[in-house]
Amino acid sequence: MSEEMRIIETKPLDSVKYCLVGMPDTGLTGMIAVSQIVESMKLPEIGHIESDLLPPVMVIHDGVPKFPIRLFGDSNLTVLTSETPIGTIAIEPLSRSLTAWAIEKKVEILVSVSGIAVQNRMEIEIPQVFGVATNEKGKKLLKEAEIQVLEEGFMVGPHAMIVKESLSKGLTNIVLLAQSHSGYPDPGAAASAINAVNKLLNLEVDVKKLLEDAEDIRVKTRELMQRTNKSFEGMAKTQEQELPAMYG
Amino acid sequence: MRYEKLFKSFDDIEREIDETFEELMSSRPMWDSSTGRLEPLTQVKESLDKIVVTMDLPLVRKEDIHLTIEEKNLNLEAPLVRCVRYERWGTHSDCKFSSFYTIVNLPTRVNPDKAKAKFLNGVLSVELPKTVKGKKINVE
Repeated sequence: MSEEMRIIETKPLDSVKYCLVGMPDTGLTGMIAVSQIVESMKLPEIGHIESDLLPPVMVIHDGVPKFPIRLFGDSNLTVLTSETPIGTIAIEPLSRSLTAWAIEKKVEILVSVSGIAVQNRMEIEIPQVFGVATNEKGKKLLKEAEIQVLEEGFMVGPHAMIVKESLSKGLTNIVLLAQSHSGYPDPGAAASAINAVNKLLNLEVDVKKLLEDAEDIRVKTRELMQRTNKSFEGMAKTQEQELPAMYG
Repeated sequence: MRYEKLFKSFDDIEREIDETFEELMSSRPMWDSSTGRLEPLTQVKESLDKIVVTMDLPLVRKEDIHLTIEEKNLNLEAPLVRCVRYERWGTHSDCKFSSFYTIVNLPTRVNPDKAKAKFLNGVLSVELPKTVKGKKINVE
């Protein structure tokens, strides 16, 4: 585990089967999706992340101060999410620590949930979800879940660094990317991402409530989206929408 | 020629002031509890001949959007279909918001008479043709 980024387990687990990660990113898709999964499955809080590289922020819920990056779940499914954007400087240490922790906990599949910006999102009724896997096992799982593989493109942000670390450590990491608004919170994309997670991990999280509450979520996550958009400026996020330079 | 340079530098100064203003705007809260107004998330994209402004307007009906466009500003006011309440947030015991309101500074002058707007799935998109288009230069 990276010394710079410490995963503190307040309720330690010997092993974890599946780990889901959803950070503030494109359309807040991953964060909205995994938060909905935590709420729907009533997953208990089991830990948090501490680091000097994170902004000096604590959040208060029901009068209790909390770390903004927290772990929820049990030995079957653990979810990592954040209530604040992860700055460029913290992404790599966080990815190193998370993947080392996943290996220590014998995680079978590490799933990152995020959004991929599409220019015509306004016209798309049900966003499609694409997958990227770090190994053959992951590719097979994507195929079985009928999730289309992202054939070409760039990934920028926490999920990209988790892929990089997973590749070097031989960890099965799958990234689910739902078509999203580039700068607006997108609960519709989060619902599509949840449906993909359901198929991939055999969960039964209902997205009905998420879709019913979609407009309220869009109102209440405006400022986090604004802050997340600002954080993209330091990480060349727009590269995700560039055409790759390919030869031959 | 000298005047052209002078006008160009005025344009640069104006743009710089706009950028500083935008930066200041983005670091302040996106709400005002005294007026019950929220500021919508807004994106401004500039191309060769037009500016496209999009805004996320959840809980808004198309017929309630009040949009006015001047040469360098776009003003929007839109009531929400119901109040958004924050019952416990910071020092506010009960905080209510009833509308979106914003003034968007446009990066260049536009022709308000030729503006087009559409509202789809809660996202407003306004296309604003530029007043001064680029001068075509023959390539030798």
